[in-house]
Amino acid sequence: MSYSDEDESLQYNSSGSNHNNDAATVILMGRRRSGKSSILEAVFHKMKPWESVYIESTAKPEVLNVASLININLMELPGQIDYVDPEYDNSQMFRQTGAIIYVIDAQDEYYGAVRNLIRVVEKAYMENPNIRVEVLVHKIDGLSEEFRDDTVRDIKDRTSEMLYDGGLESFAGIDFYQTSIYDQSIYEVLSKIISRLIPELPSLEHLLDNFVQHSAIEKAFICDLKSKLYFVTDSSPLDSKIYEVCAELIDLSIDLDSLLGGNHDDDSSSLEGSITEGAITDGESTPKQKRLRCVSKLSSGIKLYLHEVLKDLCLIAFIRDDGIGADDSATLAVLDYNAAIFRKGLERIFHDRL
Amino acid sequence: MSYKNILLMGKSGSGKSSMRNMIFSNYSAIDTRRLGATIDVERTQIRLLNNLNLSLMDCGGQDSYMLNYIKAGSTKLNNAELLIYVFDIEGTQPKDFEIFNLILNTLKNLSPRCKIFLLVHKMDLVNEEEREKVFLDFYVGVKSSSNLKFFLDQNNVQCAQTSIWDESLYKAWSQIVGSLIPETQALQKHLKNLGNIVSAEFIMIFETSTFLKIATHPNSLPKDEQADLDSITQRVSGIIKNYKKSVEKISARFRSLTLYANSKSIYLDNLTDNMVIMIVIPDSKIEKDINKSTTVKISEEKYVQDVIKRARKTFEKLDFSGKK
Repeated sequence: MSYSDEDESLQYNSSGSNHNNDAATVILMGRRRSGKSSILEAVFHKMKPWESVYIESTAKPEVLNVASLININLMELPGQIDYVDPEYDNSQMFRQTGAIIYVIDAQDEYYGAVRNLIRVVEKAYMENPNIRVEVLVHKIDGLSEEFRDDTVRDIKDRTSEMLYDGGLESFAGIDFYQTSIYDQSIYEVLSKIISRLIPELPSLEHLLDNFVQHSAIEKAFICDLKSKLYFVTDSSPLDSKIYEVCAELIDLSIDLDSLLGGNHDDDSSSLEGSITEGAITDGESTPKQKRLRCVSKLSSGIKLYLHEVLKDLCLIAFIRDDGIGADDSATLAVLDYNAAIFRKGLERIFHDRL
Repeated sequence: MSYKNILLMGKSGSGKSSMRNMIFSNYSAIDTRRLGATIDVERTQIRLLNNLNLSLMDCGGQDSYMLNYIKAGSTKLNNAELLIYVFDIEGTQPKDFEIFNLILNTLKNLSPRCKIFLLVHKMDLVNEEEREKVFLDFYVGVKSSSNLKFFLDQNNVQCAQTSIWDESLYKAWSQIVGSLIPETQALQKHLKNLGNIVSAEFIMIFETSTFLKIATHPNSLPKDEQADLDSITQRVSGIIKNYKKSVEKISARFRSLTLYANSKSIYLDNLTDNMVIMIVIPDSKIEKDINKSTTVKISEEKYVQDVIKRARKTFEKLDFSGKK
């Protein structure tokens, strides 16, 4: 396969994505077999992590469009091709890009990867000084706990040293994360990266903070039902475990729904007499389908609340009851009411797009 | 307290302990990588339902141990209620069948009434299209073991294919647990009543700690879906088990769940200390039924919760110990 072939396919893909010009582009890079395709398959196509060992090596750039609260083109560049080769015209590519996700295999020798990363950063920074570079120290599950932090620190130190040598010490848009597809870490990190690209993030966060305050919620997320990624969370500190449980609740709701939830194309008959929607819609926006709503109670007064506020977009709340005035039905009624208001707010922010 | 002895046997590395930990200790398939070989016999006491006490003996599978179990004077195979014998689909050699046969020979003398459950394991290693055939071929091979005939004649042998990577594991173990519960007719009758009261489409009862299926009742489930009932229940087991596991990470326990899906409502709640019930109700069916007679409007959720609360007493009285 020659370079010109690759060039064409890249051209083709990027011109294909011109149809939605407002889409932000995220480039996924890294050496071959570092786990780029596995990440995309696991997160966006529900592939079981252990099945990802069978994925063929990616031969040409592939674009995955994620359209939800934000429209994102995730472009995966195969690792065996050197995209920062001076002969290769990549200026266009980096200029349109919001973030580069650079995947490093933590289980492999990573000096080469770090050197390659530096060249990518140099080039990208030259073309687009506002670009963000997010480095995933991936496959971290293969390292024992005590080596994980050391490995990340080593990669970080090497990178900043080499950036300094290259006169790029002022570049601040680089972050390092530990990820694995065997746990929720990849979801959490991708969520963080993507949510940064949402232009309306501050207003959304404000909206969510408001919701949290008025409903006695400990933590709330707006999640994509398909990928489990969260786009927004309220401004209180994030506990990974809480996100993990929330993500698991999405899995459960989706799986049970597809298994037992009944016919999904049936959108007219399910409308009448729908008890849950009836209470919170105000008639002006009639939903085509009854949306998912799920309440789960756990011991020690914990409640999880999931409500699909827009298609494939859900609001999840983690509630810890202190036992004072804990009337379940009242709490839920307040939640439902506030969720409806929240949805209106969301619709107002995105009225042109949704 | 009397325990039912259950033997878990099979050659070393065939996956006995992986299964045991996934079913009874909430391991996920990937966690089982950590397990080492079982030395001698690991005994676990398990209490299922109200009064079904099991003593599960995970027997190390190295040849030397296996031969030890059948030595004259060994009491390992005494009074066994059930033998679960695990075969690794890829790594079983003629020698292993011989050992299997020897074990059966001893078992025939020590526990003639013992039920036998053969699990053909690691089926994920076989190409999906060929699985059924490979499994049947293997079963035919196992059946030729001369000492199995004694048990086959009593109709006490069952065989299933399993893999820890899909729901076949839950299916097989639900069958195993099901075979140990002596009286399910009473349970079925109660389920039927309950199903009619809440206009349920489908009711299912799980055991609380393992989330294995205990009973199902397809009240008004369409015929074509009844055919997949087994696969549906196994998958539900798996799904809820996952959730339950993640909930434990924030040191909480699962209590209940209500899901309003597209055109059904799904309720999961504790029925007794040992049973979790799942009720699936088609949309707005119940509203019409319950509000027909009364003028006071009751929400479906309240109604179902109330019915479950009332049903608890009935189900708590059920006795699973097998005492006549």
